[in-house]
Amino acid sequence: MPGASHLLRDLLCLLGAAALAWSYHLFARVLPTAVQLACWAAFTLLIAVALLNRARIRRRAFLAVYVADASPLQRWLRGGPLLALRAALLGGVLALLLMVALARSADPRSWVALIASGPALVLLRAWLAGRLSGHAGALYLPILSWRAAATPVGAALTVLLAWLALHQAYPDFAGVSLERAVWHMVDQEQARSGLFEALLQAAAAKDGLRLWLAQQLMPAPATSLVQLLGWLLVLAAEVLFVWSYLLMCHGIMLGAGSLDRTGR
Amino acid sequence: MTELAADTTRRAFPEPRPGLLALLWALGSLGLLALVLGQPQQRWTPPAPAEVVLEGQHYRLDAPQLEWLRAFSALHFSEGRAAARGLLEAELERGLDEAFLAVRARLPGFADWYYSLGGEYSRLGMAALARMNLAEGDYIARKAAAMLFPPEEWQEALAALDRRMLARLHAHQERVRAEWLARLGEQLAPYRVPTPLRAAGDGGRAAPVQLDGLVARLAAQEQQALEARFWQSTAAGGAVAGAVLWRQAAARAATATGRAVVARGAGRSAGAGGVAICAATGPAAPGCAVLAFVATWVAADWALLQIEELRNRDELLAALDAGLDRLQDQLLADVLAAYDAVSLEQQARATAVIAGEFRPAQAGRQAR
Repeated sequence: MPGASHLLRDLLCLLGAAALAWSYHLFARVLPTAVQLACWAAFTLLIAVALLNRARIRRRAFLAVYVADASPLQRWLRGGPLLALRAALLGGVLALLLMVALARSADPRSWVALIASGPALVLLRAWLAGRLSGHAGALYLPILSWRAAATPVGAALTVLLAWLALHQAYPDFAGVSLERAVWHMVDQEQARSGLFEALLQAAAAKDGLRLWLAQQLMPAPATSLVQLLGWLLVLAAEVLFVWSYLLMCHGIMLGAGSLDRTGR
Repeated sequence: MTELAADTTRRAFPEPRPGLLALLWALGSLGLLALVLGQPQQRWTPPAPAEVVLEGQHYRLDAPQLEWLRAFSALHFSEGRAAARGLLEAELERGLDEAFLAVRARLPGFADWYYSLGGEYSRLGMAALARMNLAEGDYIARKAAAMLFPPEEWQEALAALDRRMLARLHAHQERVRAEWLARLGEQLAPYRVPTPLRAAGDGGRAAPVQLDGLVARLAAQEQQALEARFWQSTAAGGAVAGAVLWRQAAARAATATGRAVVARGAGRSAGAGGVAICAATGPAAPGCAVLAFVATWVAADWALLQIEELRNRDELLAALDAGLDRLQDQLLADVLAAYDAVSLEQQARATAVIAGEFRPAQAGRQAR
């Protein structure tokens, strides 16, 4: 079990992550392109650090199991620029998704959920660390406990956000063409940065398509495949958002030294 | 390894007091919650684009584009009006040529009457009656008007010309509007947007520029303008035109006419000499004298009229023909001047209507 100071430090880290996300949400639409690019770089860095850390742990485990200690493959496969590049590319894409989702999260309840996920994650992780300390190796215990806590918290957050999204008030697209519905959603998105505005509008177009399909093809509750697909689309969007948000939190924790950098 | 991890953590964070951290976290959480619940997102509100509706299609334009649209529309309709004047002039010239051709065809008939005994004596009779205030003067002018510009035929000819002219103008203006719509459609095509749905935040948006309404208003204005009377020229009235024509022709042929009148006066005095033919005395003598006098008078007049016609007919016809040319030119100029006045007024009104329709562009300029 980590000490109280560690717990409080983790809580502060995750509160900082929520504050960072909310600050970005607050000013996302008025930031110029240069600042948006800087924000993208920062979010990418945080997510990429988390991804790279996890990739290196997996790579180290692979090498320990399958490659002899004396083999030069140990050096070649230990994870270098290629692994970092892959993490950076995936981190860049996830950072974009996260930025767009943060900018478009208008419901205060989802922000309360994000803030509340911090203490839940820290407390669950502390409890799981205590439970797993007798089973997991000491080197991997911090990261294992983090992942073990992040998974249920992330799942709960996803379900909660999806529930909020499904109970939000949406425009009525009954009897409206798909073109008008998508245009209506796109037209609502405005940002100072042209590039970022295009991203917001693309996300709005996706929402317009989803809402139009939902209202045209499944006007009444049913157990059809189409309805299932609609639900999955909402869930997928929320999963991506929660995943990228938790990766960002992970990156912040790593940066703050709150998690052991086992992947180094 | 655990010690190494603990050492890394210590290096990153010097151990603060837990109470301070807890206070920081509690205050931070409450502050963030308060901000999340109370602080709305900063909105970016660029200058609202103007919405244009043309033939049911919606377009989004910024202020400079809308200003260009206004200038283009004003120029297009102005050029259309200039072209309309050219068409009108050509149609008018053609129509007046036809109308005056019919008048010219009546000139020989008028000359026949003028150089006839009937014409001569009716002129003398009417002149005598006018001297006694029993008839209006200017008999020949009235006769010329009646013979050359028969009221019904002349008014019908002008009315037919008016109808052709208006039909041509209407067709032209419809073409101008159709071209405007087509060119506008081409220019606007890249800016087409789907018909917007009403959204909660749309209350403050400027009303769309309804160009369909503009077309209808301009068409109504043009229709109203074309109902104006272009034929108020004095030359358009047959009676007045005939009188003017005769006066001009008479003034031009005054010398010849004067010579003829003097000659006829001399001829009539020769009628007194004709009485000498009657040598009879007794009760039949006065009757014979009167008959001889009248016969000699009429014969002298007829002979002199024949001589005068022989000498002056062509000159009179040429003078009348030249007068008709001037009358035609004056009529053309008067109608075109009336059209120009109407067109100028119409252009001012159309410019005001176009500027009024594009008011959102002005609002957009002020907002920037």
